[in-house]
Amino acid sequence: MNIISVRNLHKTYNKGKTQALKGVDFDVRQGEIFGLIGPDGAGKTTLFRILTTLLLPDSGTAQVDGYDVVKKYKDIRRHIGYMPGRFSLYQDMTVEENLTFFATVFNTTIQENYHLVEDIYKQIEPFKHRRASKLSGGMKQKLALSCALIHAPHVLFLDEPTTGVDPVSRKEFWEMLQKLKTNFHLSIVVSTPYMDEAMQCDRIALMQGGEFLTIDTPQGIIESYTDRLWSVRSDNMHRLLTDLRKMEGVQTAFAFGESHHITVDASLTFDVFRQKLTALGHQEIQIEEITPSIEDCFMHLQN
Amino acid sequence: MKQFLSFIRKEFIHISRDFRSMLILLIVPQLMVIILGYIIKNDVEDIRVAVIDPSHDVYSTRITERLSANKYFIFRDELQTEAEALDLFRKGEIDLVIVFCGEFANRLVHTQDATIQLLSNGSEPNQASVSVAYAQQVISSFQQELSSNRGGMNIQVNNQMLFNPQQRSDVNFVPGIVGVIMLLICCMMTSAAIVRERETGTMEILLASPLSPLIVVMAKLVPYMVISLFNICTILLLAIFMMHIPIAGSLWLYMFVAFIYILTALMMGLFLSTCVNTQLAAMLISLLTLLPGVYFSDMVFALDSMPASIRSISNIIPAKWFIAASRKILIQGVDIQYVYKEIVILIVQGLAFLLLSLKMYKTRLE
Repeated sequence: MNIISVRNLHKTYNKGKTQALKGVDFDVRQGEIFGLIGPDGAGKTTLFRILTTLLLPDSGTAQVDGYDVVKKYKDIRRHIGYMPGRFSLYQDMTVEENLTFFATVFNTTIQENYHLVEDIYKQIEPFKHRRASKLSGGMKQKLALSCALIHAPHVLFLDEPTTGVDPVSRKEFWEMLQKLKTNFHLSIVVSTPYMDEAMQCDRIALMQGGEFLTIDTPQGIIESYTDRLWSVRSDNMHRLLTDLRKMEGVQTAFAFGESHHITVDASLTFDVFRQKLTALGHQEIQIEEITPSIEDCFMHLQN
Repeated sequence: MKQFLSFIRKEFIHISRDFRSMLILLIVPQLMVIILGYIIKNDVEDIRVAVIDPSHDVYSTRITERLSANKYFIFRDELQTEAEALDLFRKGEIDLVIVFCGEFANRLVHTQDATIQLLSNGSEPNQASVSVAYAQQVISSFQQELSSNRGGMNIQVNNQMLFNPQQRSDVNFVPGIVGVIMLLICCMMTSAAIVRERETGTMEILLASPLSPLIVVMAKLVPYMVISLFNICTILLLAIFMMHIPIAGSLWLYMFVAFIYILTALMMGLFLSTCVNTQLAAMLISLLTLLPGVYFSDMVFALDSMPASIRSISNIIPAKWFIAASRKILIQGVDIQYVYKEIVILIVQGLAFLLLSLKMYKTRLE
């Protein structure tokens, strides 16, 4: 069963000058974590705002929890949990005051749905009399998630919840989402600019420039990558990238942190390639055949 | 209901945790009243005159004619009793009453003890003294003409200021300053209230929740309402015990009118808040509304001395109606039937602002 279905959604800003969404189609199934992966400006936040009934689409339809986002927005607002990209709780209120407030806004109490937030809230409960502005980034995210969960929503929308959060807190955050999915069968739509987080989702959509490049399971996306992918390192990484881009038999070359990832023609072998690099004056050359990451797939689909 | 109460509680938390703003809200109005309580206004035109003339003789009618012909005066009515005059004063329909003594011409010519009494409205003391002075001028010039023809004519002119016999301008000024300060406080604070949620991004969550616009709007009003009522009470106490301003009318009636006025001003602030996108803009606009509030509310500048077109603009300023009503209640001591017009206008204005802000309240982000 689909908890969200989106058909041919278009959205423009500035009277049509900026195209934020250029016809997006997808479904989110009940009880899955659906990831929107893409760089800044891909249209992720716009899509979230349309699905949470905060913006009107120019054309196309979207249904959340069985309700139309335009006509039945009031019904949707009762049953969704939304965590905007920017920390949006009351900074001058304490942890407990924030949670109580959002519980009553949805006509419920902390006690009624405590089981839902227990795991998360327990971690910040020692600080419940501290003002939200005085919390660390990771704790703010936990509080925001608790506030978005306290009314037992049918679907949770998390707009870049891990942006600006340290790696440990990011990992914890994803563990919490996995638990929510397994324990409560909650449907979660989450966006992130971090490609490495994509593997945590059941299905992902790679997004760029207001369009979906592909929608599949992370595994499926990786499997559909058919090119030969090598990781290359040498003593002069900067020159190496320019050399690689000029080299015959190399199709694409991108810098990937400590190494460069290249796709090569089927005819090119390790030995020939190594000789070419040595001829160009590179030393300490390391070449490795690797399985692609989501980021490789994204780069590939982008072209 | 629980949603509503919880929202009100939240608003109180916002205000109480912003200590400096709270101090400004709770202390500055009182200071302003004390400091500004001694400013004066002046200059009058179109003085509405009524006449009580038991003699109806050649001289008394000639004086009346002279007054009516004078550009500063408008002849309104001929009255029989002082009680009638008092009633018209309370309704705010006249500014000056000329009372001739009986057998005016006879006493003027023969016994030399003809008297004219000028009754003026002391709740606006500056205007009253100016209109009395104009009337005296007209009478004395008539007397001089008469004397140059026949010699030795003497009219004794008494003037009596009703409602405020000591001619204290602070008596008059306090209701005015209260009106303008409450407008400033109510309007400025609430105008920032909704737009602040927009600026901090919390509006995004509130919108994606089942909260209805009415709950948000009304819950924003309540804390400022409480603060404003506190201010009105303390200002009244200051006026009575520190500035020794006599309160002629019912305090309960005054509080009732003040309550309605505060609501109207709050609604106006909310309306501004729904129109703008930043707190800064909200502050600037509410400051800009303060200026016409001062000019057109009859606080410092007499509306009577303004052109009719500008006077009609003043009708849309809530402060004008509140100030008019509070002068009537506090200084003239009138009952509710004499201020119901002001009350009705304030209520209508408040409802209009409420409807407009509900209409302008965006249920989405754009």
